[in-house]
Amino acid sequence: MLVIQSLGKRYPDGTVGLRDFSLEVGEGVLGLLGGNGAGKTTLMTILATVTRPTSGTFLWEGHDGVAEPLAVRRVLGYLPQDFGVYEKLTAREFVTYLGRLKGLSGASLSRRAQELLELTNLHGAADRRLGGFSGGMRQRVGIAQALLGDPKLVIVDEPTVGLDPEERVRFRNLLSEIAQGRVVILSTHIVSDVEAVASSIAVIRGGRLVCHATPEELLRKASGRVFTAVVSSENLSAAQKTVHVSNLVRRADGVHVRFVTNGSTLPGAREAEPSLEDAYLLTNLEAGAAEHAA
Amino acid sequence: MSGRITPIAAQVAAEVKTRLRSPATLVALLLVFAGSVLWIPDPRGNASSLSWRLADGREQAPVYNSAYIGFAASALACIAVTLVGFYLVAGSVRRDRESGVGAILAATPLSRAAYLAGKFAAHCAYLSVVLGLALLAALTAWFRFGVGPFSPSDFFLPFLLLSMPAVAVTASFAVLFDVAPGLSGRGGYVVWFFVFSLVLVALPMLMAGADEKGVLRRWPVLDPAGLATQAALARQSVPGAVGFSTGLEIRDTPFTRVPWNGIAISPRVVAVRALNLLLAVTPLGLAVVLFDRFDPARRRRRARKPGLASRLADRFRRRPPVATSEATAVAMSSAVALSPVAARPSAGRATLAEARLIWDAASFLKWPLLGSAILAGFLPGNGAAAVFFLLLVPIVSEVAAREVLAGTSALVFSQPGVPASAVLWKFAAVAVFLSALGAPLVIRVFIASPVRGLAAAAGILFVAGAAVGLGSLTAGGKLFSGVYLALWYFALNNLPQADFAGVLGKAPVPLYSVVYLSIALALVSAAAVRARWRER
Repeated sequence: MLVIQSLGKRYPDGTVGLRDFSLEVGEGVLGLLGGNGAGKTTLMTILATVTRPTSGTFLWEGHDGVAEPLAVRRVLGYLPQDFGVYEKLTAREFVTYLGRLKGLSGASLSRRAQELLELTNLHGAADRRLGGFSGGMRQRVGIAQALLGDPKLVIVDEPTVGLDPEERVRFRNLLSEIAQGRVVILSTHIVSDVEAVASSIAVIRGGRLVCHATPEELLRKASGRVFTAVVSSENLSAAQKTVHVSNLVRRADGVHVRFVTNGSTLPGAREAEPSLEDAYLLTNLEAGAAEHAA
Repeated sequence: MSGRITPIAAQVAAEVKTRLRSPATLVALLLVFAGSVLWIPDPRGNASSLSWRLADGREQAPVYNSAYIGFAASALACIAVTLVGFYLVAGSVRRDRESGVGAILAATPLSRAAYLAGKFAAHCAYLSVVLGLALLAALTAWFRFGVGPFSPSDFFLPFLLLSMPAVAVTASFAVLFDVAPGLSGRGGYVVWFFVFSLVLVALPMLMAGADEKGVLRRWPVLDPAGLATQAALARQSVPGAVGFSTGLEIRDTPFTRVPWNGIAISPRVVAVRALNLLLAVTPLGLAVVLFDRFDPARRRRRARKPGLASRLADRFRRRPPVATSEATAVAMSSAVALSPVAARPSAGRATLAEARLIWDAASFLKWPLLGSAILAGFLPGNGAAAVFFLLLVPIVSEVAAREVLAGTSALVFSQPGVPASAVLWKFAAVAVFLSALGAPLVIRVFIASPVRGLAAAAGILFVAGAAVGLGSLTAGGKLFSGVYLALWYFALNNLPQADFAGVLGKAPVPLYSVVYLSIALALVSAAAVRARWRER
């Protein structure tokens, strides 16, 4: 169990990354959703013990992660958002090096490295230098290293960036499977990634937690507030000022608009089945309105 | 015309701002200034940076008039700019490539020539700051020790004439090294040392017909670094001298100071220096030809056909399965079927892992390093030891900054084995690595003289501390490379104060190794405190 207690982070330049962020996370995948600069990566780096918070703390199985970072690092598998590699090393050498820093050694390390390289579909390139790897292949090396030491807490920050569609599906399935008996935190702004694997979702905005719910709860909340309508090209601009458009497609009969709303609507609008993306947009919309009112 | 100048000026401004906002610049400039002050020592002491011997055996040095102080500052500036300055400016194109800025620049109308000319101009601007510091140190020396009236022409003219081509040649070679395949990395730092000593120092002397005493038979026409010209001009200024030194000399007793009129600057000297200024730009032209303009395709090596042995071995090797969609499906279904592992993270294991990574990352250089380390344990003399200490530069210079440079900080520092202080962890790893390789040398010297053996061990720890301390403080390996190579060079030239390990010069003083070790430990402590402070 991971318990986050009033985490706050203010950077030296005055930027606030997190404000009074509290959350309890159990077994399974927590999808962390938020826009650019919402504070997702700040939260992830604090939980990965790479950065220290300026206030608050978090507990892992009763251990204070800020005071005892080692207790977290022993069970942690972490894939940062932006990470580099040592270009002169091969994929196998790089994964093995990180395995040694995790405390693995000998035959079990070699075996685990080989298994993970196979799991991430890199076994054919395992002995090639990382300097020649594509972005997607590097990302897979990052995924392999995150699973090196039987992690109980897996933190993955934008893990599917750079992966092709097939690899993306493969990674989602892998994440679902490893979530059994583990806490997995998946940070992304790609809602479909979260939809496929998350057992709960946290929405973060301006460094604050604005919502923590199951996908079903979020969908239920959005029910009756998602609509579709067909508008002419001339009226599109006015429509966008009236409602929050989540999708639009130009067709012969006009522009098919999908929108979420807190009350206003468009002429001829019909209620639609909400998707998780609609629910996320609606949550963000409400949080924005609340901030504005405050 | 202004259309061409504007991009260059913009680059110079960006480079200067980038450098001025880096703490490495401050550290580097402070070191340069400290070196400049030491170069013009108190005239009442036993050291002089210009001295000569007369036929009757008397040794003399000049009084501190403006001609001498200007000349000493120019000699220092030429060495500082060419030897150390290169390390301060090199790596600029590499930085653009690695940061991704290069890819953005490549999509602009900026031509290869304009881009590299901008880099060259920025290097010249930065090296001029180094010149300025040498001048400042010289002016300080004048106010402290100067005698007679201050003559601006005697003071500034030699300085400008000798040092401007040195600035240009260093800047243009720095650009060339940055774009030439195989020279843009740590290996290039070592290669530059040989370019400096062979192309910029030895070749001009050789072409001027220097004998074994350094007496030149002809005027050194090709001499962009200005060191041979200095020697010739100084020699010309004291016709009766039989021996001459334009380097820092230290004696047991004070030098006899005599009036000196300074070097004579004729129109011919001015013309030759102007010619050298033009010649200095030649490497820049070569760089323009070689530069790939950040085209990733041009940097890819052509795939080599496997050799016979490799093809035979391949026949018997178990091939990895090809990643088909069926294989993918199987892998997916067995995604969590991983064999159990037992992790026992500890600082000791992490230190050994880091030491091993230093070895693995050393590329082909590890083999000559190992060879020289073994030979240094058996061969008399300082040849193998000198090669050993030289080859350490590309291997350990960037160890402390590796995570910053490669972007692996989050990956590495979230591992359970990595100790709380990354600086001390790195220091321990480099010390283990160097101690293992340096053991044969230390044992050999220890058997001959236990005190010198301990000094050699202290020197090896100094290298570890200086590499990690400076590397961590400056987030790179260039400053360490420049300072360390300068020490190595002066130690090999029998300056006992520079012999950090007591094994490079002819008459080492073991006490200096202790001083160097203390400096290195201070650097490591400063880096550790700074890292701790930044964590907060």
